[in-house]
Amino acid sequence: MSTLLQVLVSGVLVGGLYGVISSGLSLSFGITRIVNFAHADFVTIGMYLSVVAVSALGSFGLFLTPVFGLAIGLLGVLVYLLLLRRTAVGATTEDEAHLPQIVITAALGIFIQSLLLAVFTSTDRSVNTVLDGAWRVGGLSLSKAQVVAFVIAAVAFAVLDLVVNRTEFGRGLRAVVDDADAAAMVGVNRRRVFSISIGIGVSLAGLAGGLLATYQTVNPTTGFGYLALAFVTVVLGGLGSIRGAFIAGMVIGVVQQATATYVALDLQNQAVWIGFLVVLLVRPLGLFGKRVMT
Amino acid sequence: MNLVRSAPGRPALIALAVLLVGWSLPFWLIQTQFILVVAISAAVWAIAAQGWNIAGGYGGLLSFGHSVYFGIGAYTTALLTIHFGLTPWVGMLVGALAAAIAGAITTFPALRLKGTYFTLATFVLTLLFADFATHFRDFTGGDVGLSIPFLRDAPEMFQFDSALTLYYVVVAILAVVTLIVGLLAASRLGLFLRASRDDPDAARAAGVDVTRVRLVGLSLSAAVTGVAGGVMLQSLRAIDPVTGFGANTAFVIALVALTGGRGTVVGPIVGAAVLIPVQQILSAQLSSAPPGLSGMAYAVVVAAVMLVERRGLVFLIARLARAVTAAVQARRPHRPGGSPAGGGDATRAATVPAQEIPEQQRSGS
Repeated sequence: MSTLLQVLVSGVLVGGLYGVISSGLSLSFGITRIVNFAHADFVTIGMYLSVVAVSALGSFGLFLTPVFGLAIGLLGVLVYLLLLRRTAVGATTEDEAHLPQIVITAALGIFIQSLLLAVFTSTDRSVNTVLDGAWRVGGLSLSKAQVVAFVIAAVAFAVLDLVVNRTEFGRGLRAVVDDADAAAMVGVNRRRVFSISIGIGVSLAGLAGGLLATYQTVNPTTGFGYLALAFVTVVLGGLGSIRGAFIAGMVIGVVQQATATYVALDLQNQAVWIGFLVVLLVRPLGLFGKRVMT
Repeated sequence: MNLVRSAPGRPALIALAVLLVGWSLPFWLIQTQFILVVAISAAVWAIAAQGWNIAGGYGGLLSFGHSVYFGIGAYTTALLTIHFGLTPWVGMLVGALAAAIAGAITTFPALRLKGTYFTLATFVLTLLFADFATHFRDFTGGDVGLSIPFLRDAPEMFQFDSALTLYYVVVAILAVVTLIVGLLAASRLGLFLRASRDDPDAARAAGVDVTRVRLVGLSLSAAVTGVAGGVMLQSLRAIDPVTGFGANTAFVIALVALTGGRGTVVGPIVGAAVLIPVQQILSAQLSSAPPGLSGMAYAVVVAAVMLVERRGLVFLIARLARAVTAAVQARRPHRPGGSPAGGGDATRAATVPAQEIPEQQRSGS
C-alpha cells in the first residue's frame, strides 16, 4: 500500500513538470499548429542555465530560474519571427505549410544539441543545492527538489491558465485556437498571437528545465528525451487544451512510475508509447480533445 | 525542370546516370579511405531516403519514423545470418518483406490521422521499437545490438575484399532503387499516390481507392528503406537499437529526402550527397573536428535550404538554372556584353512569374 502511495506521489510530482512542458507545447501547437520538434531542447537550455547559475552563485542561483525562463521565451519569439513565420507563405495545403516548419524545428533541435555539446561537452552535469535530500512524511519519502519544482510548476501553470482564460489577450488566443480565420477577421493580430504563444510555450519549457536541473543530471540530449513525452501528453490532453495537457502530464508521470516500479525500469516509457498509440487510434481526439482525424 | 518532372523512359536514364556518376567518383573525387567510407554511408542513406520518398514525397505521408522499417530490415538480415547462416542477399529481401508488412500495418494510422498527427505517431512508434530492441536482449542483443561474423572476401555473404568494392555494390543497389522509384513515380500508382496526397477527397471522387494506394505505397516505401537497413548492417557488420531505430536515424532519413527534394526521383540522392558529407566529415568521432560542429553545420544547411526553397535543393538548382538561362537569353538579343545591371533586371523579370505561381495559390492557412 505504501509502495502504491509512493508511486502515486512521485508520479504526480514528476508529472507536474511534464505538465508544464506540455501545456506550453499545447498552447503553441494549438495556436500556431507548428509541431515544434525543438520544444524539448529548450528544456535542456533551461537545465544548463540552472547548472551555470548554481555553480556561480550556489543555491541562490535557483532564484534566477524564472528570469532564464523569460529569456528563453524571448529566444522562442525570435525563432518564430526569423525562422518559422515566412515558410508558411505560398503553401497550397495546411500540411504543405507546416512541413518546412517541422523540418526547421527539427534542424533547430539538432543545432541546439550540437551547440550545447560544443560548449558543455557530453559529460553529465548535476548541481548540489539546499534542495538535495528528502522530507519524510509518514511512510513516504518526498524529494525536496521534486516538491519545490512541483509547487513552482503548479504556480506557473495557474498563471498561464489565468492569462488564457481570464484576460482579453487570452480571449484572442482561444479565438485563434477555435477558428484562426474568423479570429483574424474580428481583429486578432495573428502574427502577435503566434509569436507570443510560441514565446510563452518555450519559456515554460525553459522554466521546467531550470527546475528539473535540481534533481536530474543534464547532458546535451537530456531534454530531447522529453520530446516524445511532451507530444504524447499534448495529444492525450487534447489539442490546444492546456488544462488537459497539465492533467495528462501528471497521468503520464504516474504511469511511468508505476511501470518502473511494478514491471521493469527500462520499460517505463514503453507503457506510455503504447498507451499513446492505442489512444490515437481508438480515440483520435485525445482524451479531452477535439477532432484531429480526417 | 527536366530533372524534376519524370516521364516514362526517363527513369532508366536517371538510374544509369546515378550508376555512372557514382562509379566514376573514386577516379576523381574520392581520394582517401575516409571519404570512401563517408560515400558508402551517403549511398546507404540515399537508398533509405528513396524509400521514404515513395510514401513521404509522392504519397504525402510525412513519416518521422521510417527508422522502424530501416531497423526491421537490419535486424531481420542480422538474425537470419546469425541463426541460420542465411546469405544477406536473401536476408535483405526477407528483411524488406518484414518491413513491408510493418509498412502495411502502419497504413492503418496513416488513413485515420491527419498530416502532423501521422508524423507524431510514426515518431513515437520508432521510439517504441528502439525500446523493444533494447529490452528483449536475448533476441536482439540489447544495447550492444547484434554483430555478424567478419568474413574477409565473401561476395556471396555480401562482404567484400575492400571498401571500394562495397562502394560499387552499394551504388549499384542505389541505381536499381532509383530506377524502381522512377518507374513507380511515372506509373498509374505514382499518379494515384500524388492524387491522394494533393486532395484525398477529390481522388476518391475520381475513383482512386485511396486506402489501397496508401497501403501499397507505404509497403513499398517500407520495403526499400528496409533494404537500406540491411545494406547498413553489412557495411557496419553490426546493428544496435540506436543506429537501427533511433530518433537520429528517423530524422536523417526524412531530412535527407526533404532537403534534397521530396517527390522527385533525384531529390533523396542530392540530399544525401550534400547532407551526409557535411555531417560526417566534420564529425568529432570520425575526424578531428571539435564536437558539435558537424551537427551545427548539418542543421544550418537543412534550415537554410528550407528558408530559401522549401521544396528542396533540386528545385533550388532548377530555379538557379532557369535564372542563369534567362540571364543569358536576355543578354543576347539586346546589347552583347551589356551592363550587369541590365542583365540582373532581365533575370528578375524572367524568374518572378515562375515564383508567383505558388503565391497565387496561397490559401488562408
